[in-house]
Amino acid sequence: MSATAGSLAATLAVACALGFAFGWLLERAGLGNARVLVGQFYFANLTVFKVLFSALVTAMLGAFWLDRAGLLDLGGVYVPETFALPQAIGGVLFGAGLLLGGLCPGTSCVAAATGRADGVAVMAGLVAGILAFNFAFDSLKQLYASTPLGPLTLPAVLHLPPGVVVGMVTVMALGIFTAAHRLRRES
Amino acid sequence: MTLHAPLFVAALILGGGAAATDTLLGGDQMTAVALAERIKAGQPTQVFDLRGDEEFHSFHIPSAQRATLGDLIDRSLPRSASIVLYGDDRARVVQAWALLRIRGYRHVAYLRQGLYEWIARVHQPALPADATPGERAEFDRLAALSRYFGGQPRLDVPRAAMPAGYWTAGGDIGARPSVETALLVAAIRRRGC
Repeated sequence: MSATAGSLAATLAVACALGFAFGWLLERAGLGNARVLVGQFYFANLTVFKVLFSALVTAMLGAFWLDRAGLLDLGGVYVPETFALPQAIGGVLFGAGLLLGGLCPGTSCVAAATGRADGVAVMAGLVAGILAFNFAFDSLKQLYASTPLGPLTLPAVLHLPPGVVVGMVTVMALGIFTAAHRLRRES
Repeated sequence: MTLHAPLFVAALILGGGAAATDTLLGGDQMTAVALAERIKAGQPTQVFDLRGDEEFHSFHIPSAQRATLGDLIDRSLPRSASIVLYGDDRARVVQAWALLRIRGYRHVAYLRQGLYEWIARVHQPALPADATPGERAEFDRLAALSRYFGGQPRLDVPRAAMPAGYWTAGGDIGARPSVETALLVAAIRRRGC
């Protein structure tokens, strides 16, 4: 096996391990259940917010401090480019699909893996959507590439040092966690 | 919901520490262009190259001195000195940065992508063949800087061959930046600069 093929195999193995771990954690957090996800939209169940925001804050703090320790170069981490209009439209479509189906792409895989029929249905819709988008890409590509803003990050947009933004997001998350905790106790 | 107090406190410390690191300790990273402008403007700056002897003698940033971590400990500089570090091992560079900060030096920074960044942006800035007006204006600025340091600006470079870094979209220079740097230095030496 050549070095490149070996490296690709190792990358795929790591990706598979991460995928299984991600799916397992989503399932353990209860996010394979459409009722839990939809409960977020009605503020009846804040599990989605708690799980995903905890993950976001953990990853953000980990990446920041690994970078500061010289163990990770954030300069080498790919930041997806922002295309304001198509991404806003995509966000609305995604949100509508999530509300109607009760599951997002990752959680639909988890739901399907645990034998839920709604998970399989949402995955089928996901694949159909991907195929439809690709077949229609020629007529959509002008919109797809419109309003390009480049790779945007909060520190660049707010003109603040990365550490300050990390601190602000952490405090905001902890504040919302505390508020959710109190609301839950009072209800 | 259970609010895990130890996790809450840990997140608060790490988040607060992140904010404090970037505000109280000052910026820890400097761009190669900012360093070049500092040197050109005659602002006193101590530049330390943390690579090996051989790499240093092959090519280094003008005015840079070769140093090891031990040299940095032994060296006595005014605490207000502006110090810039670079090397090919990011962990060692950050270690040196932290060492100097702990020893009380207030203005210490390092080049985020080391010598690679200096070569790509200052020594031989490149103008893409299909450059936008904005890229052309930026290139003119960098080309003037490059000529000051005896560099060699490159014109009409295919877009795909443009040197990538954190300053470009995508930003990745591959998994082995030190190899990329070595190839660039070898190319410079072949040209006899």
